Amino acid sequence: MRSLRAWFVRMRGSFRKQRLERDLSEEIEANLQLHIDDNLRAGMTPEESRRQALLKLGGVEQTKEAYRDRAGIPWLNTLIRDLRYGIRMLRKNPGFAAAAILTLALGIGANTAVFSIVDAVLLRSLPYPDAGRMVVIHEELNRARPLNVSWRGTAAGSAPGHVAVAAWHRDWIGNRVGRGAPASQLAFRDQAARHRYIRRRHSAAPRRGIRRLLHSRSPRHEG
Amino acid sequence: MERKSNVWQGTLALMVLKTLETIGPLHGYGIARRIEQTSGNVLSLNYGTLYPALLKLEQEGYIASEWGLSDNNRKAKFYRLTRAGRKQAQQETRDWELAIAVLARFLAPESQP
Repeated sequence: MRSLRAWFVRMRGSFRKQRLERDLSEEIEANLQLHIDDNLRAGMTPEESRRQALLKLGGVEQTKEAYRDRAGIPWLNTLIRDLRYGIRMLRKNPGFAAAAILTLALGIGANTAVFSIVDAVLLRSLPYPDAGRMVVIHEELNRARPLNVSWRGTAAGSAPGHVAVAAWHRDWIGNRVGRGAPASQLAFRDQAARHRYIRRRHSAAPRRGIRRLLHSRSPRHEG
Repeated sequence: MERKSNVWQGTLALMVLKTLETIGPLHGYGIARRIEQTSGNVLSLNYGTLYPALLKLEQEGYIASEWGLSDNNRKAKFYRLTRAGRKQAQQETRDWELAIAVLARFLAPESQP
């Protein structure tokens, strides 16, 4: 507790150095004077009195230095000094300051823009009910690259267990599919699944989003 | 020339507290002189080292300071013990008494059984 209190006092001390400094100078001077008085009373000459008193003190500057380290927090003092220096230099070179600030502004702006896209495309879930259960279906033939499945075949039931099937093409991204596929674009296994989809879509309040829209639902969850 | 010791690490704060406890409010120079006298002039103190020590004690709330006038009408900053300082002095006294007692047993071992 005590050391915590001391830290607060020192933190404050870092911001009112001049007052502390003046106080210390006065205190040192006052104590020196008392010492000199004593020495004079002991029969020393005035010069010798002062010299002895200073000797005993061990150097005014060293004393002040040790005091300063304790009065404030040294690293905080350094930080404040550096900040002041930085601000002074910026003010002295307005051109450089403008360039630096502009660079920062552009950097931050670009970063924000890129993140907004990443957030919308990759991080937020898609605007469909049960978005986490969506899958992309394609066929594979040996080692060949993925083939698109037949739209009619899939819609007719070659992808069993799916509530809704929708076609997707990368050229559509952002327009047709952007605001949540209307039920008319989807092929449903049966009428009940279609109604379920519409109900959920309305309750799920679709948000912005792009891409994939195969809505999957496996039979064991059908209850 | 007589041999003088420096003040041992960590003991200055307690000496200051005890001095203020014994004599009451005192300025820095008075504290320094008093410490030397009490030690029977065995301890030699750079008066400059007292300032950071006093400041630390004040920051910790063990002593408080205010400006006043000395006996011979000089302006001086007087330090006095706070209530927390009084408690701290007692606590540290107990700690040191224990440390000294333990150390004494090592320095002068009684006859071995």
